[in-house]
Amino acid sequence: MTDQHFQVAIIGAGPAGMAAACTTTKAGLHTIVIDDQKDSGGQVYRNLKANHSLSPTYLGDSYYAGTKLSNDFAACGANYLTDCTVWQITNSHEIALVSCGKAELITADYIIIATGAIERAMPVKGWTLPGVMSVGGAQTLLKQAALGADEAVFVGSGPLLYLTVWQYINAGLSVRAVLDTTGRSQWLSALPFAPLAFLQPDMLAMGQKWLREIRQKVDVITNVEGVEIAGRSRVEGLSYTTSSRERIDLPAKYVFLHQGVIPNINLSMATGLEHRWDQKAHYWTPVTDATGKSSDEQIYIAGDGNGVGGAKAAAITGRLSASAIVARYGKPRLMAQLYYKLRHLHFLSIRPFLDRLYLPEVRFRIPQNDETIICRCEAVTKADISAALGSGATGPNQLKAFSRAGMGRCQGRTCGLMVQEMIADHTGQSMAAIGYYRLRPPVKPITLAALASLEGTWPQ
Amino acid sequence: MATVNDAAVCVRRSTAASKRPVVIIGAGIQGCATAFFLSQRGQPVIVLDKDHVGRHASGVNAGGVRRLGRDINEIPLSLVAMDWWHQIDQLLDIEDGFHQQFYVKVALDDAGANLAGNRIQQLEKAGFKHEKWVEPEQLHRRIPHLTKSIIGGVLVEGDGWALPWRITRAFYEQAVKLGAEFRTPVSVQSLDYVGDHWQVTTNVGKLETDNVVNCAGAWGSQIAKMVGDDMPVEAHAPMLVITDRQPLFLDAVIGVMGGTLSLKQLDNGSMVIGGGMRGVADPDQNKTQLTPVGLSKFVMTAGRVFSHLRDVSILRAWAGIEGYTADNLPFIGRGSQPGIIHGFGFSAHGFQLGPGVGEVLSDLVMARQPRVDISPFAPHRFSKLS
Repeated sequence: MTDQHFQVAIIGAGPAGMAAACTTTKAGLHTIVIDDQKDSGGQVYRNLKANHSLSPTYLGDSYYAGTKLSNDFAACGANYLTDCTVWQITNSHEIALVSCGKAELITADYIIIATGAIERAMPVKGWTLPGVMSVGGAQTLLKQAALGADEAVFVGSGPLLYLTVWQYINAGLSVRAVLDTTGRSQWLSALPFAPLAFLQPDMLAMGQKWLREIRQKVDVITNVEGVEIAGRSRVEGLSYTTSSRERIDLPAKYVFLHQGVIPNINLSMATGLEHRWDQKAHYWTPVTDATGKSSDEQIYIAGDGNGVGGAKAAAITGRLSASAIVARYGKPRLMAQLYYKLRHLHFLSIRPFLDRLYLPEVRFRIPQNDETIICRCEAVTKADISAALGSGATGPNQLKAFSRAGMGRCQGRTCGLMVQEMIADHTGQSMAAIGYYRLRPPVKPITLAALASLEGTWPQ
Repeated sequence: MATVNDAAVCVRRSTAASKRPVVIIGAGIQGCATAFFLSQRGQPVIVLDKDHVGRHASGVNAGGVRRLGRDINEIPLSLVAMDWWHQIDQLLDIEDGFHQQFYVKVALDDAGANLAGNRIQQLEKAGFKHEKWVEPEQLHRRIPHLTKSIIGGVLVEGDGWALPWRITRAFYEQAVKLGAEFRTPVSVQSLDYVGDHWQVTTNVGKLETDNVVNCAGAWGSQIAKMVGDDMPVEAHAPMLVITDRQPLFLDAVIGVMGGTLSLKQLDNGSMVIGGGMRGVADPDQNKTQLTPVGLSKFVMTAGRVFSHLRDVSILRAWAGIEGYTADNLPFIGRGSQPGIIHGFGFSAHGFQLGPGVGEVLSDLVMARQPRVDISPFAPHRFSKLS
C-alpha cells in the first residue's frame, strides 16, 4: 500500500461501512475501507455478487436489497482492503492492520468503526457438541458455499432464525422442526410496542410471509422450554418441554441455535472508547451522539456495532456518521443529515417491539446445568465459574485469573455476557456495575511473523 | 549466611513487635509476602490496596524466577529469595508453584558473546559462580529448536518461572490464614505522625499504627511523599504477549544477551513472550496503552531465537503498571521518619525477589538485622546526591 494517511478510514464493509464510504468519497474525502472478508457486504449481504446467478434465488428479497448499495460501493472510488485484519487502534489514531501476512500502520483524521453484530450465545446443555452450530453460521454456509444440511432442528428465537429457516426451505432443504423459545411474558412485554412497529408494515408483512410459508412445510413448536442437546461425540438428538409440560425427545443430526444478535464491541472496547449497558436490549453498546461520534472525537461508530437496528438502519447510520465527518471539513449537509436522522428513527420504530419480544429469558442466557460449558475455548463449565465466584472473584477480569474463562482463542467474544450474567446472579449487582472483560489488542489473533513484520522480515 | 531452615525456626519463635497492626500499603507480591512473613511471626497486619490483590504488575508480569542477569548489588537478595522459591510449595501450601528449569540468555552475535564474557568475569570477581557460559552445541542438545546461528549463551541451572497471579494470590491466602487482614479497594489519602504513632487516613476511615510499610509499586512515590520522603519512580508498562497453544517443545526460559526478550512455554502449551519493551502507562487512570512497534520489536527477537514459531498466533497482548527507579534498583529500607519502611520501585524484576523482600521488610518492622546487605537499595540514595 502506498498511502499511509487518509482523511477517513472505515473499518468494516457491511451496509454501514459501504454506505459511509459512498458518502465520504462523494464529498471528495480520501477514504479507505478495511474489511476482513474477501468481498464486501458484511454478514447480511455476504457473497451477493456470486449469488446473483442462483436459480431459484432462494435467499429472498431482503438479501438482494443490498445489490444497489454494493454496486454503489464498488463504484465509489474508495481505497478498499479485503482480507485484512485490524488488530489495534492506538490513542494517536494509528490503525494497526495485517494484510497478506504483513503488518502495517496507517493513520486517519477520522475513523468509522462499522464492525456489525455478533450472535448472542445460547448455552443450552450440549451447545458445544459437534453438529451444533449457530443459525448465523448455518446461514453463512448457505450464502458463501451453497451448503446446507437436511433435517436440521432450528432452536431459539428472533428474525434471523426465521429468515434462515425460510431460506433453507426455499433452497429445497428439509427442516426437521423449529423450536421457538419465545415465552408468553416476552409477547406481553412486546405487545404495547406493536403499534410503533406498524410504522414499518413492509417488515411486518415480510415476517408474516416467512412464518406462513415455513408453517406449510415445517413443524413450528412455540413456548419451548428446557432444551437439552444430547449425544456422546456428536449430536444425536435433543429434548424439550412443551407448553403443556410434556417432555419430547427428537432425534437430530444437526441443531442450529439462535437467540438474537448483539453489537460487536470488541474493537471499540479494546480502543478504550466509553460503553454503556443497554438494559432494554440487554447488551453493551458504545456511548455516542446521534451521528455516531464516540467518546473519542475522531472516532465514529456506525451500524449494528452501535446498537442493533438491522441492515437498513445500519446503512443510514453509516451515511449519518459520514456526513457528520464531511461537515467537519466545512461542508455541512444539514438537509441530508436531517433526512438520515428521520430515516434512522423510522427504521428503529420496530426495534422496541423486536427487542422485547426476542430478549431471551435468563434461563436461556446462562446455563441451567452445572456441567454445561460457558467458555468453550478453555472448557470452563458453569460449575467452574460458580467455584471461582465462591472463592472470592469479584469481577469478570478477576474471574479470568481464577477460572481461565475468556482467556482462550476467542478472548471472551462468546462467553463475555454469560460470565457477567453469572456474576450478576451471584452478587446481585447490576450488569452495568459489573462491567465487561478488559479487552486488549490484538482484537483478532495475528501470527508472530505478521506482528514482527512491522519491524522487518521474520528470520528464516 | 544462615540457612533458610534456621531462619524459619527462629522467626516462628518471635513475638509481635507492636500491638497495633502494621499497615502495609499495596497488595502486590511484595505487600502480600511481607504480610505473610509478619503474620507468621505473630505480628498483626492490615493490608490496604486501592484496587485488589495482584491487580497490577504483580498479577500480570512475565513470571520469570531468575538469578540470571541481575545487578551485582541485587544478587544476595535474589539468592535469599531463591531459597524460599525452592520450598515455595510447602511455604504456601500449593503444588508445582515453581517450575524449576534453566534460564539462558543466548548470544546471537559477537557483541552478545562479548557481553556474556565480561559479565561472567565480573561475577567471578565478586565471588558469584551461578552464571555459566555454555557452548552452542550443548545448547542445541538441550533446546533442539534453537536457531542454528546462535553462538552460545549464559545459563543458570535451576532458574525458571511461576504463574505470577497464582503466587501473589497464594501469599495473600496464607497471610489471611495466619490472621492478616486485607481491605480492598481502600486508598490511602494521608499519613500523619500524631504523638507517638501514625494515623492513616483512607477513603473509608482512619487507622492507627506504629509501622507503615510502603509496597505501593508504581504508586510508591506518592505514598513516600506523604511521609516527606522524596523517592522518585517512573511508571512504565512493560508489554507481554501470549500465544495459542503449541506442542510442548521448551523446558527453559530464553532471553537474549543485550536484547529484550523473555520467552517461556506454559504447561498448557501457550508461550509467554516479553522482555521489557514498554507501552504507555497511565497510573492515575489504571490504564496502559500498547505500542504496536514495541510489540513488534520483541516478537522479532523471539523469531531470531525460534524461527519455527512463524505461524503461531498471538491471542492477547497486555501490560502491567510498574515503578522504575533511576538506577533500576528497588527502594528497600527505612524512611526518614520513625516507623516508615519502604519496599517499591522494583523496575520490572521484583517478582522473583518477592519472598526475599517479604522476609527483609518484616525484619525491618520487627527491628531485626536482615541477613542481606540492603544498603544499595537505600531510600535516599538519590536525594543525597543532590
